[in-house]
Amino acid sequence: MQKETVLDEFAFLVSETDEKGNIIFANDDFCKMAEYSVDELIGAAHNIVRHKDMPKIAFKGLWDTVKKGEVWTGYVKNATKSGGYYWVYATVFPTITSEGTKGYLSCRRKASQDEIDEHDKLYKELIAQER
Amino acid sequence: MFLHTPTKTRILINMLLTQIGFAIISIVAILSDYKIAAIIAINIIFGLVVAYTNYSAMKRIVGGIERIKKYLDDLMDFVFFRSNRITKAQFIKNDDIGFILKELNKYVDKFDTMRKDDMHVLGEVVIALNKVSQGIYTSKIHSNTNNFMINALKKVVNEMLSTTSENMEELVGIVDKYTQQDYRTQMKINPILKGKMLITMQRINQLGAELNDNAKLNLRNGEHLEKNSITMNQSVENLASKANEQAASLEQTAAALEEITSITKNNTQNASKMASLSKDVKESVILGEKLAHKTATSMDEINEKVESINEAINVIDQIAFQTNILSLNAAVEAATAGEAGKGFAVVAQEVRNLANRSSDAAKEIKNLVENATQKTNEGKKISDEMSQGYDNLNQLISQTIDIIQNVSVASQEQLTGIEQINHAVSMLDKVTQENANEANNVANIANETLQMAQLLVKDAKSKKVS
Repeated sequence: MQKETVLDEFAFLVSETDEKGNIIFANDDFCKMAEYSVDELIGAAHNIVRHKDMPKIAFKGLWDTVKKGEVWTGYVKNATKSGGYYWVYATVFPTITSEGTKGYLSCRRKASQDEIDEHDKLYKELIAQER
Repeated sequence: MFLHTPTKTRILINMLLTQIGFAIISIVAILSDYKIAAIIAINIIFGLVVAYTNYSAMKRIVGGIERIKKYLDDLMDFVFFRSNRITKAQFIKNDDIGFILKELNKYVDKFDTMRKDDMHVLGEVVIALNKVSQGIYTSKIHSNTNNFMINALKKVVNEMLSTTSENMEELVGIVDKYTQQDYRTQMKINPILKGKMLITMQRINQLGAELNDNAKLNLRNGEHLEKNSITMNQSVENLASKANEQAASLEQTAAALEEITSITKNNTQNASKMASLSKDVKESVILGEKLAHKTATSMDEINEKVESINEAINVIDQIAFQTNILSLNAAVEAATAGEAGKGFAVVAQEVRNLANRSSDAAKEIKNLVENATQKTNEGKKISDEMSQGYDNLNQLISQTIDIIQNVSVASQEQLTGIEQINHAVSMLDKVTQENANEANNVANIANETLQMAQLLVKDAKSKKVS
């Protein structure tokens, strides 16, 4: 059984990626939750925290939306370094990064238990369909 | 029925229906001549109509309020971040409730947009400030929001980032220059600066000025040191060569002294040999003296014996005289006896000849003895003189021995003195060699000092100063 970490009310996980999805920077909350040091994350592909329970279609929706220049929101189950997981409500913005280049800014906060339960079920169904 | 009718109209319709009802009841009552049944029937009909319209209006209003209440609850959860999503109102009717729901929907859209915009700005702020914690000041918040509070935050964060970044650039620039040993410039300090940043910049400027002064001072000192080092180097080299010369001279001195020592030792040995030889000579002289005495005594004894010989010769001489007289007597007797005494006369003649020869021999011996006596006396005299000479010699030898002893003692003292000198010279030699070594060491050090001074000057010259 994988260990779930539940975000507290004030958790605010922020990361920046370039247009290919490679991490440019991640804040302390992100690093702490994902159990990586910021240096391990910088330069890594963002799917370093991708959880196998996430359906591909969810990320396809994400990329399709942000590539059009729109804001994407959604519920994501992420993996920690030690093999655990945590649920977030993510908002992804097309942005100009802290380095002044084009990229994406991802802000995540706690998802409520109802929201988690609903999407857990939904993603399981989607995964089953993808197989 | 009346799905899109506003609430006001509904109530008005209900009122009108009620009034119409009352009017119809009255009319029916008058026209039917107050037939109870007709009045009741109309009452029931209008009661049912009004009840329906009232119920329908109530259901719509109360249901709408319930819907609004639910919507507001959802909205509260959304606004206060208890949930992340909200379902907007659908199937909106064109009445008051519908209007409120439409308004709420608009509000939700606006709020959602603002919330996303705010989150975008805040996300950037979080990234930027997290980078600030790591020492990166170059970030900037790019996204915008209509929320004036978040906008104020964005503005102030951007201002902070931009001024801090400028300050950092100034600091990095100047520290870079100082690192490359260029102390010519100072930072321009932004007049708005206060607190630790101001202190830091002022101190770094001060540090730069001091580094500049130090570099100049170092160059001056270095050049001075270099000059002095060169002089010192020459002096020390001189000193070292002198010390080496001194050491060489001392070595020669030591060698000469060694020779003198050996000569002196030889002298001492010779003096003691002389002393012992003198003793032998003295003993020989004493022996000679004794022998001279003995010779004198022997001469006296010879003289005595010669006296005895002389007496004996006198006896022989008397005997010869008497023999001669006897021979004469015999010749007289023989002549008397004639022929018979002829032979005897020959013998008497022969005896007479012998007596003469004895007398002659005695005379000759006497002469010889006299001669011998004379020689003996001379011998005695000579041996006396000899004895005296020996005495003299003895005295002289004693004096010589004294002198030799003096010489021996003096030589011994000289040897001791020379040994002391030797010791002193070898000490001096040692010290001189140590000095020479020290001088060489000092020469090395002086050389190193010069090299260091040259390095210092080179280093100081490589620095750019104003």
